[in-house]
Amino acid sequence: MEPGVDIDRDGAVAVVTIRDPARRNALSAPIRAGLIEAFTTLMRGDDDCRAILLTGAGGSFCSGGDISTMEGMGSFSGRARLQAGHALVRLMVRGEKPIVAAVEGYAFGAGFSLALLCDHVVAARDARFGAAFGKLGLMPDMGLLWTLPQRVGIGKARRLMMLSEPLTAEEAAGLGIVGTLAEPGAVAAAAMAKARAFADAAPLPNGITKAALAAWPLPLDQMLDHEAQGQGVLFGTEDLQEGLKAFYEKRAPRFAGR
Amino acid sequence: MSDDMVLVERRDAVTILTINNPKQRNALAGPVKAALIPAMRAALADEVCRAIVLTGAQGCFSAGGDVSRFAEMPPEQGRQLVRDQREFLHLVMRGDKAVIAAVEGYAYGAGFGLAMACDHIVAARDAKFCAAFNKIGLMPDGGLLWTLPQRVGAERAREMMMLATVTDGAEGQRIGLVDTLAEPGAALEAALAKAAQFAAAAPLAVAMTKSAFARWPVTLDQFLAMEADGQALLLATEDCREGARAFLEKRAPAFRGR
Repeated sequence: MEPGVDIDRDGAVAVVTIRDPARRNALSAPIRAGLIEAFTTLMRGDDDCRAILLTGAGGSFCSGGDISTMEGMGSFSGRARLQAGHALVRLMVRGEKPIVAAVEGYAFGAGFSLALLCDHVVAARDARFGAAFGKLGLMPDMGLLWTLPQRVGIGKARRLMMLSEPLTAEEAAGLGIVGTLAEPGAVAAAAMAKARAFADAAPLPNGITKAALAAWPLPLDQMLDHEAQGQGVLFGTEDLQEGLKAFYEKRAPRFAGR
Repeated sequence: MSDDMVLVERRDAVTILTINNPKQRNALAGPVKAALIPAMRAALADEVCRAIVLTGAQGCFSAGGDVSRFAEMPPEQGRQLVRDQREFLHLVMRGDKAVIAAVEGYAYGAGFGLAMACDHIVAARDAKFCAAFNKIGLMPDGGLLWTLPQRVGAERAREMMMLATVTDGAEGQRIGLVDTLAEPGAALEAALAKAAQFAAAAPLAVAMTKSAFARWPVTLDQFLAMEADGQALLLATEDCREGARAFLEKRAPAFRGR
């Protein structure tokens, strides 16, 4: 079976699986193209999808960039490769649906970056994370310079990126990188439970929240403008009326995304 | 018990502002907001006051916005409702005096935002914080999009905002949401002790530092310009000379704010 990216549906959750287990799901050009296609479809074209679960096949999340194609690469082909990756970064960060990463095995290099582009990371206790770029003579990419300091603060981000220090999942949880720890073998179920929670949450406010956080960091008044503009739009939605009804009737709301 | 929506009490150099709308769990109804603004202005203008404690009456900080008005509210009024938060948030975040939140019971929705706008957060072990907005189909406001990721990092902020998870005081201290933990019923007492420390600190230096935090994020060069301008001003103050003298004489300095 050719390596590729699969999309499976489980109710309102779309499961996106990187499938190249022979190479521990390295982010090769075909895998990257498959992810761009999958996230484009799910973020923009699929009204029934409320949350996305990103995972890797065969017990590993993603081992990083495709080292086999780095040999002899010129500067400008390297730049083009990065720019292709940035289309994926923008889709994941600016896309208005929540993304949960389910991490087993390795999330190294660009695979680490990929996990941190998700809104929530679920990881097996024995999973391993690392910004391994420096070991190849490279700097962090795929948005890691933006995502990692936001999660862990600048002191720890510098240590992790400049020393390429690997982390266990438990250490990553302590630092605010991993949101949910699961026992080995139970990651898929834990991540699906989390993805369902995101899928059940009000989709319109979460979409606007994601869009505002994609502009991070902004000065206070610009963020307050996001809050006022976004909240104004939400005051006109059916979902607010449903949310208020459910609140007064003491039942769980059913949000239609309108 | 007074009918005033905000109670003001001064103890030495500390002014206590108490939100007093206990029938609505200190929800930020129109009359509460109308009373908070002049009370905060007066405390900031009061030359004896060096630090401000913000709390809620009868064991509850604030349950958030006045939900009873939301169902009938057209979008433009909803937007204006959020824009109207700005004046008070500016007074808290851009004012020249340290503001300490004393949180018992609930700090929900816009009440959570109000607590996070403060410089130092004291909470009872069993206090509860929740960005409850999206339970009724709204997004975070009250400045939370700006304050919360700075405090707890991007991962935890996203979970708290997008899933409306509840965080208690003890967990809050672990993740950086809460600065000082108190036993249930003792948050105000602990906040007053902390406020006394802020009140004893050099007031002009506190004001300048606070002003720099309020402008975050800025570039390195912008921060360096703020340091140069602010420090130049402070180096010329009586307090700076007093601080140096007290240091050499190995005694506590007595700062006068000039």
